[in-house]
Amino acid sequence: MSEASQTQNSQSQAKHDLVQYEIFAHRLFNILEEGRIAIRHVSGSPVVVEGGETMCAFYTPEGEAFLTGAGILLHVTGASQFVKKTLEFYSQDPGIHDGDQFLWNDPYTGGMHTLDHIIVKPIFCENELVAWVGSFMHTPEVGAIDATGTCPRATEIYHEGMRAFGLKIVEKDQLRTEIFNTVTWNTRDPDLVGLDHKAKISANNVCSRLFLELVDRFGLSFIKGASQRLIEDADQMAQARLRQLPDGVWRSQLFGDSDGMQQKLFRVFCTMTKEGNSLTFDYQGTSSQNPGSLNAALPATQGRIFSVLLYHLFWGLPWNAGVVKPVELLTPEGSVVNCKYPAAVSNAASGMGGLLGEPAHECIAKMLYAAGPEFWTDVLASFSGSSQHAYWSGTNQSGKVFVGTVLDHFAGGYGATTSRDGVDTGGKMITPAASVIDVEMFEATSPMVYLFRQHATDTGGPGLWRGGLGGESAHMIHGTKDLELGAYGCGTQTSVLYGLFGGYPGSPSRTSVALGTDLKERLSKGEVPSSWSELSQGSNQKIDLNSNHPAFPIQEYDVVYNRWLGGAGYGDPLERDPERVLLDVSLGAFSQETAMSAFGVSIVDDALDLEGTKSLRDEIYKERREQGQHLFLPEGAETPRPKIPNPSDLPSWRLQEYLDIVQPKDNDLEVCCRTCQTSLGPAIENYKRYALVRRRQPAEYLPLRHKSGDFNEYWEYYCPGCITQIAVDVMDPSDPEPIWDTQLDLSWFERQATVSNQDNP
Amino acid sequence: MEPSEHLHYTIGIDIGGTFTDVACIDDRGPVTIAKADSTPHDFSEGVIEALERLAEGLNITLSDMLSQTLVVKHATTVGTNTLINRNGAQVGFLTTKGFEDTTLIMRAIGRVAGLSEEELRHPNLITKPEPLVPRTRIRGIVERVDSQGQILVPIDENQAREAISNLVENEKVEALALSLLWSFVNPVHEQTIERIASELYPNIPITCSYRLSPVIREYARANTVIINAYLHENMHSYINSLQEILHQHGYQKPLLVMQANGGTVHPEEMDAVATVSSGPSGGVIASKFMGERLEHSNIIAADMGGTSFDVGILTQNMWQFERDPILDRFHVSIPRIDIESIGAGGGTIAWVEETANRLIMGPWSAGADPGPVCYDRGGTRPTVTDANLLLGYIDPDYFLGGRKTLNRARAEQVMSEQVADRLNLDITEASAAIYDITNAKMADLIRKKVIGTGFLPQHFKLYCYGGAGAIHAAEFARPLGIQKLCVFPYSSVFSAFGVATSDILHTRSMTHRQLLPGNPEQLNQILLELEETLSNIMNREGFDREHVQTQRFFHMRYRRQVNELAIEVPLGHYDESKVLEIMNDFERIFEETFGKGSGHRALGLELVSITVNMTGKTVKPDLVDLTASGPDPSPALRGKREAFFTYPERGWQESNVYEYEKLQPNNVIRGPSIVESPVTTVVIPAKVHAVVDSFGNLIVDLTGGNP
Repeated sequence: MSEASQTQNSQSQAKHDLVQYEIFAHRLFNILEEGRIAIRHVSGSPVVVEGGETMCAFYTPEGEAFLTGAGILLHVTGASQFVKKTLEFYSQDPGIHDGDQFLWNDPYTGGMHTLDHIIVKPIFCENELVAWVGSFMHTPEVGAIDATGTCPRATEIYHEGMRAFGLKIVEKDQLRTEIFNTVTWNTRDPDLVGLDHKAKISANNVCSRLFLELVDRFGLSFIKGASQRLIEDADQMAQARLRQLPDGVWRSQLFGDSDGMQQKLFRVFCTMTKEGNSLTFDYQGTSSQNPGSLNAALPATQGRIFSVLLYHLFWGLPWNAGVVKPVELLTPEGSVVNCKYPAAVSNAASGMGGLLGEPAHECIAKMLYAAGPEFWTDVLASFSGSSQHAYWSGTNQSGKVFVGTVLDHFAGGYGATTSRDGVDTGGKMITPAASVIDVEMFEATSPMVYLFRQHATDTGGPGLWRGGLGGESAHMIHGTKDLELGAYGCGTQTSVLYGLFGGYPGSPSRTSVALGTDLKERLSKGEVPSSWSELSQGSNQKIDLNSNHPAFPIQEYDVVYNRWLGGAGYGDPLERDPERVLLDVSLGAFSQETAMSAFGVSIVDDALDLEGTKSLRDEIYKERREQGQHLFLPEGAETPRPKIPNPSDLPSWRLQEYLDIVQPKDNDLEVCCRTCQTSLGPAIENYKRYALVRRRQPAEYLPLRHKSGDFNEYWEYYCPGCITQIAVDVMDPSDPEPIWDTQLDLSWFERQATVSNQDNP
Repeated sequence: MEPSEHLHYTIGIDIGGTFTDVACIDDRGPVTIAKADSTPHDFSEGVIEALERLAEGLNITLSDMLSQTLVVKHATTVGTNTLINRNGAQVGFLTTKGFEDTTLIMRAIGRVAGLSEEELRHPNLITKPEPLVPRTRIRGIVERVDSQGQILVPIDENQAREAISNLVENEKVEALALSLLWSFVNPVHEQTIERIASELYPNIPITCSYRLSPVIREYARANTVIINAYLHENMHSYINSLQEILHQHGYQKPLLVMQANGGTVHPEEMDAVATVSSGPSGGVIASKFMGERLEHSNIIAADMGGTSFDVGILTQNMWQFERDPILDRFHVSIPRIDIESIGAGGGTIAWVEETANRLIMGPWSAGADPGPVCYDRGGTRPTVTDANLLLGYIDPDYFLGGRKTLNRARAEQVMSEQVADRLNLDITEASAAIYDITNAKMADLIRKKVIGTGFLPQHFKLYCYGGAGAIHAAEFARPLGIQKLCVFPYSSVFSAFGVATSDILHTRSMTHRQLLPGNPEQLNQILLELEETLSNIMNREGFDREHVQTQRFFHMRYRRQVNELAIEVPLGHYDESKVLEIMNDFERIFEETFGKGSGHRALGLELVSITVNMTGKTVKPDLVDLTASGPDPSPALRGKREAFFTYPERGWQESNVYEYEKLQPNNVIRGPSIVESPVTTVVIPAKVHAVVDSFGNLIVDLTGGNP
């Protein structure tokens, strides 16, 4: 064979593989979509069909995910342990055979809580195990101590429903009826749970059949190689993305307000270190595990962090195990982010989820900001925080079993970003295509009517750009005499979101109940309440439910009021264009009080009062200057803070919205206010210590925020020169000093500068 | 409605974003087609221009043609354009108090609805669309009906009156949209408001949900009435003025308007919202028409244009309706032909992802402007069309019949720099890779759509139209096991042809929940009501009951499921045994669609809503057979050129090039060959042959058998 034709042949092979690989990857994704379509059509769970909480994935024979479909992001990696444990436990006895399917829901193995059910199916080709397919769904009922399975009364995992450890629910393509009956009849709603198991089984059948067609078409050895390559590609692409971003250490914390039973403050602390092409999240400093169900076993923490990574950092990359290979996660054992068996964990999703993920999100957002303008559209303030939900069980208007949760919070407000407001009622981070149910679809089978479902004023975090609005709804009990109501979750008394660069967090969740109302009469007279205060007038008893509240009986015409999270704001609210604030007020995004207290905007007769606004803003600046103090200024540091002369002539890097790092000639790097050139200290120190600090009770100046005597303070940081609000932190009053949120590795910038100088001689 | 002696033309008009296409079926002769540029400032200009060219093709004057025309049917992009440009009417929206934010909350899914897979992969950038009705023009009405139709809160008429006059006087609304909770169960409050509005402001049009779309799910229903009100004035004045212009030119009949459900209606029966993106359905209707003539009942209708590849599916010669229809980025609740689109057109850009060394297609497209590199209009990135040129499928000197020369050298350079060199391939291999990957994506979309109907692709014929589709069709059809591919002489204006062949169609749906079998009499009652309403409309359209074809659909599910599946059900009176038959049909179709064992009879079967279609057959001149010839196509041979084939062996092969217009019925073309017309190119690979049928269609046999 001539050299030329050899080259041609190997080139042709390379080309062949290149094309086959693309075709394979596209087909594989489509197979998972077909699986998901099957699930959505068979299932009866609103949380699956409307909320989109479902996902199919393929795993290598050893259990590494090589492609996961769209749907919920939480279980991209968290589910692979189910495959690995099936192999470990059952390879010998009872054996893993063609046509078998295994049901799991043990949260110490994978998933977040017992509600996360997965069925995995081995795929065999001529007696060889060639892959696994798994279908995941959030199941509406698990037969736990409390209905719906997130349990205000649980203190051990044994209270949280039956756990399946790889039950062979399908054997050699036959449904095992005794197992099916056992796992469904153990719940309060066997019909619905049964439908959901069938949905997962049919999705696995669809996916495995189509996968074998792919093996037929491409050959087994190609498929094996291509599956591995999907993982390696994702790994490489994740590393490449990381190399574009600055090195450094970022820190964040958020607080929970319940131990699962009682109101109690606890902390989740996250330190992110980025170096070259690796990323580490360390949760040292996080509180010890709770006695109730507000805990996360390690798989839940992994799942949540990785969904944050896929959404906020590794967008556009294939969703598989490779994406997270460059990422290391360190969690103290016995803490709320890695609790010890047999701790209760059913609140790992609603209650813990945002607390696990949002600190990591904050670190990532600030890293992206420091990476430069091309990344700024991806810098979002916080949203999708931990939230509280009402749940009920009893019978509906047709006398059928009724168990359910208020899922309106799936329309949470989004965080603001560098150049626009957050999206109002935009959705949820973990399920990008989440939706809330139509009121009519809900009322068709539920023993209640909505009195309203609407955007809620003052829920978005104030800022230069405001957070997206959350909403509020009221359910009046209608058509049943048999119903109990409870609540679970977290974050009624703490701010579970962070604002970015001087913006404020959005408002927390709230569930309240008005018992013994006079609504029957008022409605018939044409009086329709459109707020909590209107609807609860004339009620015998009003209760604000704790974050977790065991179920109690409620009657017809009692009303459950629910308010859900708005997104966090971005930047100093005093910098917001007053015209925008006027529009916000006219649309009900903010109340007139907030316009004044947070934005310093005065509105008279629905029009902007420019004079009043100017004096109001001057007043607030003055107050900031008077109340803000150098509480943490290092000893010997100069006051008043000096200005840096002509910073625009110096080499500089952007640290955050209001601050640059500049390099004065022959001097060390300094942090410099972009507005007034005041120095906020050496770049190797925490700039917040050089800022004016003011500790405030949120409820005293922001509506809907936690009341005085609650757990958190807001620490506001002002530039000592121009008094711009450069940061707001949610803090425990006993915290000793400000968190150093962005500790850049300055040599990274110097190295980048050298590289780019070489590029542009 | 007998076709009179001299009224022998049926004309279909399809206005697209770039071109206005017209097709004329003459019941005495062949089909004639023409094209003109679309004229967005006044679309009727483009229509007249195209019709003039059509008359030219018939060798008569425009007014001679129109005065001999039995019917003109029209699909327009006016509605779509109005939505995209956001220049519809100033609409005020009335809904139940407490739910004024429903169309702004958009069930949260509104943030992502209508976006492509690629857009969804970068979720931080996604925001909600600008609402058609801002919050300032939405009013809540004090009233409430529950799920059983019981009145919980009586309507406050004074408050309703104030709300309406406030919208009109202060907010200057030009149209009203009305949708109250549960109005489809008990419409009495909507009727009250409708009466008040028409008393107060008889000249302000009002769209009521109980009339337009009496189905459950308030979010989609609200969007439906809002979009209708938003487009009403634009659409009606446009259609009226076009009809007027056509009348001035000698046309004597009403101008029928195409709707996205696949039927046409008289202008006065038109719901503006139903006309949006009705153009693409033209291709599916044309496929149905051709399928009836060619005796094909399972058809994949595939359209490849400059930016997208669109697929519709016909089973038993009937199209599918979209399950969760979306207009622009808004969920709606009106029936629409299900056509799914992916970004794989001639202008789709190929690029190399350098970290993983992958060749990626899209999501960006060079579209028509600047277009592919070879157009020489400023395109700088390699596209599918550039690859097709470099593979020899497209003749650079015969583009648009030679009216334009393509720049091959430039395409080569860009392909080499941006794809071939980076992947260490030669230019041909790089182009072939683009060709193959594009084909695979098209095959995946087709597969997904066909599987969703419960069938397998090998049981379908592939009908391919749009300029570029037939270059790819043989290759994307093969791995799907499809045996027959059909290309049409007027495939470049196939939608206009489809519009010409469409029938009068009206559809009404009603939500009615019933655990089956239940009481069959309830079903009979609802069907009677729906069919009465439709009969009256069809009467106004000029059809008596005997000349109307009726179809009934039940939307059913297992109790406790959320989604439903629609099945066609028999006509006539129902008794219990008939309903049991329907239940058995549903279970069979459900398991065919979602797999054996997916059914769950023990839960019970539930009817959710009922849809009835009534079709009035318009007089439809049949296609006339062309004069048959022998198998030898050589009179149409234009020459030979080298083209690169990927099957059965990879390599350059000398291919015969035929001129489509000169081919005769019964001609047999053996691959490797290329058949060209100024607007269509068909690639026929080796071991494959095609036969010209008596209508001039090219029927490609992909099985490798002998002709």
